[in-house]
Amino acid sequence: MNERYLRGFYVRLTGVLMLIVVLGLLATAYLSHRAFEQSLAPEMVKKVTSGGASVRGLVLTAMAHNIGFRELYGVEQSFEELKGAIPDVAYVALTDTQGAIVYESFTAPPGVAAYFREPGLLASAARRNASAPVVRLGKQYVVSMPIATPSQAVGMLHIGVDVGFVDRIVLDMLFDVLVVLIAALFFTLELLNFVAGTKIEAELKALGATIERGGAGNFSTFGAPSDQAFGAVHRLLERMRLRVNSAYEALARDVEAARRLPAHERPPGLAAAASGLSLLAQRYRFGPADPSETADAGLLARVRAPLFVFILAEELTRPFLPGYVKSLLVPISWLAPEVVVGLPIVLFMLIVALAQPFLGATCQRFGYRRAMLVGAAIAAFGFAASAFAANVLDLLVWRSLCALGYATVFVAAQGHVLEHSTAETRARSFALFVGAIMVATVCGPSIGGILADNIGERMTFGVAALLAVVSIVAIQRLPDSARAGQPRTKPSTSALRGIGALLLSKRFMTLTGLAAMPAKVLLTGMCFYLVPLYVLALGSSQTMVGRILMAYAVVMVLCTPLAAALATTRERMEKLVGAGLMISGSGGAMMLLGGDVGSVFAATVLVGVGQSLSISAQSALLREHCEAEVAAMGEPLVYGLYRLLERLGNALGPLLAAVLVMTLGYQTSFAVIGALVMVCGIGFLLATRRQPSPELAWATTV
Amino acid sequence: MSSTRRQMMIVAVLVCLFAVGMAGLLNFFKYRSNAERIVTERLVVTGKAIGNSIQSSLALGMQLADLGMLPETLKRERATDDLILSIEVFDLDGNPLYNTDLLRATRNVPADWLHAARRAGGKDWFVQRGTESAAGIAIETNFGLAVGYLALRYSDETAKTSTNAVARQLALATLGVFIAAALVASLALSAMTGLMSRKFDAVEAAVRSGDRARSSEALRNGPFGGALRRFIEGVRGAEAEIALVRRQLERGTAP
Repeated sequence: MNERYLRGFYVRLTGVLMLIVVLGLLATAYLSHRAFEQSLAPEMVKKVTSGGASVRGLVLTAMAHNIGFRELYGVEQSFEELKGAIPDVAYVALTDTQGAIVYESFTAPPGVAAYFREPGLLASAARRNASAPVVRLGKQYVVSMPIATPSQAVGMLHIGVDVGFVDRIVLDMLFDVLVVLIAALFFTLELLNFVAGTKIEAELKALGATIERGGAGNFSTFGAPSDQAFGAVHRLLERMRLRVNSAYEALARDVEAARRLPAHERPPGLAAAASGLSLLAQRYRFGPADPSETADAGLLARVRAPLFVFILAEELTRPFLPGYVKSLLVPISWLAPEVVVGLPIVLFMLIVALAQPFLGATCQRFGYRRAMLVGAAIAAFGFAASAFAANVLDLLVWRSLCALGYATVFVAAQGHVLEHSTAETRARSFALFVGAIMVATVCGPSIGGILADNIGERMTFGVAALLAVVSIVAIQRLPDSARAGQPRTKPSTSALRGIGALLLSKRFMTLTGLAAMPAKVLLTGMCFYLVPLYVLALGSSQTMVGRILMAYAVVMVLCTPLAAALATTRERMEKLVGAGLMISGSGGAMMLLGGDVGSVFAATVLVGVGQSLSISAQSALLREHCEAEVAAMGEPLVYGLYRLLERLGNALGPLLAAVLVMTLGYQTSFAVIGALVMVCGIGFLLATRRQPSPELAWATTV
Repeated sequence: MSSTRRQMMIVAVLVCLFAVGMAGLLNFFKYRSNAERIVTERLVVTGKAIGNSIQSSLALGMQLADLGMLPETLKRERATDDLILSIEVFDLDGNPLYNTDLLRATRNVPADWLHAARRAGGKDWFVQRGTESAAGIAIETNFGLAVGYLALRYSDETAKTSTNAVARQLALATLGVFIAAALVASLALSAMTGLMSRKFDAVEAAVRSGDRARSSEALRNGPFGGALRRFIEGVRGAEAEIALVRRQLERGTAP
């Protein structure tokens, strides 16, 4: 109940905070619009004045050749050229000395004819090379430039500029603001959780537990509650429990004392009282509580903030990394540039995949907190060094450090969660772990793209390094849980035999080879390699790449819980995995239909939908498919190999995409990877199609 | 509860700082990039007008190095815009051909100009380096063959001056919005936390009073509803049973 109450409290807090933030952002947008209009309009006027100078020059040249002002040829064509050079031009007109329109093109603003005849404006026509003041007529700024030969005034050139140019800038800005708003929403939830939520949640949980235990007849004592948010109520309830407990203890003491009396002195109701006492002990629980019931949930939750900040640092680099690598390319004779661009991502994924199995034992021996500190420090150095990379070769080294740090922090945080959770709370604890990662994948790419576009890729790497340092500060708040001296278990021969058996197992490889690996190949090949490079190749920005990757993460956050709720039976899970692969694959394949940024966006959203359908069902299916293997070899080995192969898929993705781009170009590469995943989806569905058992087959024929 | 209230206010301030600060920063970046774009496009418009005139001359069979009217045209165009420090025409190797700034007329163009021009292919190119900033175009024949480059040198300090003024204006606006938003959000969150605190106080008072009717009402509306009622009833039940057993012990009567 207290969880529902807390969630409701969070929702109300976040809702109110978001409403205020939205109002604040709207106010900022309005004030910025005004500032933009005031400062950009004069710049735009100067720009059109520069463009208008050539039109004015043409008119004066014609006049010099004694061509009459009303007999000029090709004036409209020069107006078209002006609009071609400056697309913001909305209206161009030439008027005579009386202000009568002689030539005009495009859309005239309202009241323009009357304005051209205003005496003040006509007076300025006689001054050579002077510009009349700019006026706003309807939706246009109109700039008027006098046309005069040394001997006489000829007329005026008027150029109207659509005021919408400021609106367009602000609209583009609003997209960024929307991204900021979404990031702020997740940031708020994280902050609520980090600053107050952990404490409130733990305290509400303790209070709720007191109430639940008391309601269930458990009056065992836990000691006085600390001075906390709901301390007064909690202490009051604990006092009530203590009162009942003391009354029982006093009664038990008195019954025991009565038993010790000589038989003739014993109260006549002792037997009934002893029986009543025994009934009380059966119905209720008294005495001191089991210490295991008082585990500190806050210890677990404390890992979320550093993990979020650390993963955010890495996620910042997603939208611009391929473009950054491209800018640092040096010729490598034996490698195509497309492959070199993908190398840092491949290497990163490969190190993360291969290091994780070894890091598990090392982090345990070293202590999870210390391992996280070391990992975050290595990554921070890697980010900072990446910011100063001279070329792609040294970037490879720095990104390898980032990968090692990432893998260490990931494994150590996972270990911390395992260490501080029980079998009952493990799933919830991992939801906390995955939640931090998901929120970072929503906020990171979008903010990273915006930062890279505005302060540059190197500075954004600097920001990533700073975030990694901030995560170190947060990691220091974690409890030290070093388990020094624990021997590291080496893979035994039976484990190696088990790995061999798993690799040959049809059931295991159907799920791993046809579902898990292709899903990861699509994710890294398409989202981390093709999308950033292709969107930049289309002339769009890294901000746009960030928005697209953010859309993927948002879809994942929204759809994954729904898909997990649907995955209730093995048959459903198989269908979800197959359908997920088909949908995500169709995202890549649909790039053949259109190659613009909108298509990339739609394709990435489809990939997100497909991945969210299949990912949660995949892990659950492994246990269903490989029940015999899990029973024989143990869950850690089966899941360990599954994760390793899945992560190798991560490394394979950019490599495959690079080779495809090299030979087929971007659009076809999207389509080929998508089609491959769809084929895997069909293969998976066919391989997992339920064959009727012999008994059932026989039954149906009777 | 006061520490929770303080923490909520910190959350409000941090979220507003992130959202409004980030939006303000983005707005500034957006302004800066657009202002720079307008300035460079303005220079390119002028450059293209000169480029068209050069192309017309080249179409008549004249050589780029022998355009007698060009210095006068360059000087005239230079005079139309006070942002332009000089207009320079140079060949594909960076050797100067025409320059409105006589002091620079014999000097080779800066290496980064030539690098940017070559890298841009036939497109417009830009270099930002203080007073050596330039917006340039390729000079091509009617057949699309590049024969040289035209650069309009300007000082980006001029552009920066107006950018800084807008930056100050945006910073003030953002600060104002941040203060207002943070204040309102802090008060709102503080009020909500206070509301929660009052609910718990009511529960505490109800439980303490021992008045069944009052406590039922408070518990029904309180955050723990039924569970707390079960707790109270559980306590009362257990106490009643303990009292009953005690009475049995003391009086020795059967129930």
